[in-house]
Amino acid sequence: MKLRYCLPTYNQPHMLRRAVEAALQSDVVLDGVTVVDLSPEHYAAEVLNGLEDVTVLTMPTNIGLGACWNLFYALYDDYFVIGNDDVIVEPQTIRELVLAAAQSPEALFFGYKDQFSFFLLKKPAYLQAGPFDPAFWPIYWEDVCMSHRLQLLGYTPVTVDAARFEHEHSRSLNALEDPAAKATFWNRFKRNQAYYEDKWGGTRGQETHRLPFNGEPARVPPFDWTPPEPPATPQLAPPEAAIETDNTPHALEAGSVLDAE
Amino acid sequence: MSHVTGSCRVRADDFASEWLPPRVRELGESLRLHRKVWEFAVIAQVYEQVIGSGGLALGFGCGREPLPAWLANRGCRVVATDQPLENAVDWVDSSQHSGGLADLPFKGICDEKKFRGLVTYSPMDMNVIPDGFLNGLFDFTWSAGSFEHIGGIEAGMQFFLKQMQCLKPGGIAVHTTEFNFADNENTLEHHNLVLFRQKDLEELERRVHAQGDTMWPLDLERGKTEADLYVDPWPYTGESHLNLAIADHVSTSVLLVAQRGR
Repeated sequence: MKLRYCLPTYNQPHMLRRAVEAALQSDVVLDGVTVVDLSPEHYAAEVLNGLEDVTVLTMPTNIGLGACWNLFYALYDDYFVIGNDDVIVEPQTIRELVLAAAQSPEALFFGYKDQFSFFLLKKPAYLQAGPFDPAFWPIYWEDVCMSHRLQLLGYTPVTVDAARFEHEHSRSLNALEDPAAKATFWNRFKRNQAYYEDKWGGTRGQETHRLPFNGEPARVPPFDWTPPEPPATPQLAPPEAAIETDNTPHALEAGSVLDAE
Repeated sequence: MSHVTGSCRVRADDFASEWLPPRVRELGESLRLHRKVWEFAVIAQVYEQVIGSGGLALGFGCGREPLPAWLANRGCRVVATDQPLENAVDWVDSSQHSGGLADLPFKGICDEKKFRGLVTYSPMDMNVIPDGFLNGLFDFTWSAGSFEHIGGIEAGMQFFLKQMQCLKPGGIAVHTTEFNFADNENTLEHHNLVLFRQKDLEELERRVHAQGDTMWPLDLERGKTEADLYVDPWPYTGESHLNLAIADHVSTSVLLVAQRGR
């Protein structure tokens, strides 16, 4: 078996090296770390220069988080853990997650608290559920969609308290001061939320369809979609409120894969 | 002798050594010339020498043995495994199968709260170690008289080689098994019991080294005392039970210790 740690990076060159170095200090044998660079600046190879056992895949464009995660499943068959460029693991973190997964028939395992910021989804279950939906571009709600599909298959996510990590949240929504960037974020969040609700017949926890789009052809909204009746001044919900709505903490981060325009 | 120095067979001298009696007491066993007592004690002793306390251990075919509790008492987290119930009819009938944590003894060995906090149980077929366990997670793996029961000499060797992948670099695998010490050609090879010959153990040692791991040197010399020379016949009621007659063969217990390469 070859255990890998995989992560995307977007617009966080200052955090990436620390995140990768922390993973390489794990007390398990990592076959390597794979970083997918989604940024327009293509900085990852330079930032990670000199680190052994690190593979950098540079994407010509931002393919989005769901497509990036799908890429990991296309590349690797063995166990791999997926993190993020602002996730700093402790030496035992990856071991604890893998150990929990090895002992359980469940499919989806989260590190402590931050769910899809650091997770392990067993490949057989991934293949059973189907890939992350890349139409949730570039980020938000692709994880909710996968969780829902796994739930329909009878799986229950497992949170592994011992798999602790530090999450920097360097570019959280609240840190975005540019109103235009906030509006872009908000439109994408709402666009993907609307897509999710159409796909599953309701928002998280209130889904009514057992099949996507209730078995009808998919309806993918345009990526420049905007809410039908946007408020005059965007009213951004505080993070806590958004967690209640969406229950996916990483969806609050505007940083990792949010397209900078 | 003050400690275990190699992969070796049970000898009566060990029972008067500095290391064995304390381990036997800690394991909640009585000190008697029985090879099973030696197997538990020698596995514990290798842990004591190499790790001492803490770490993460994986036990195969744990049955109802005291080692999970002993390790937990040392602060070691333990994943104890045994074959799935549907494959274990023979062992359930003989009360040697563990169906879960409740079947593992701890009284007199480890505080219950500590035991429950540190020991978990997973069913596992030793011929099909689940992928997730083969990720170099463990500091210590062990089995006490198990891998001679999994389908044949080659199956046993394949298990031993495969389970090394469960270990971190430098991690220690400690296993005891059957050794046919009287015949290096003819042996017992039944689907649920085999007796390894010297040449099988030497071949295993060669393969362990070939995959980049190391095995503590084999020392298969027989002891010289009366107990070492005695072979206990069925139904095994002798005062000394270090060697025993099985079908047309004679066997004893052998310890194999291997360290994962870095």
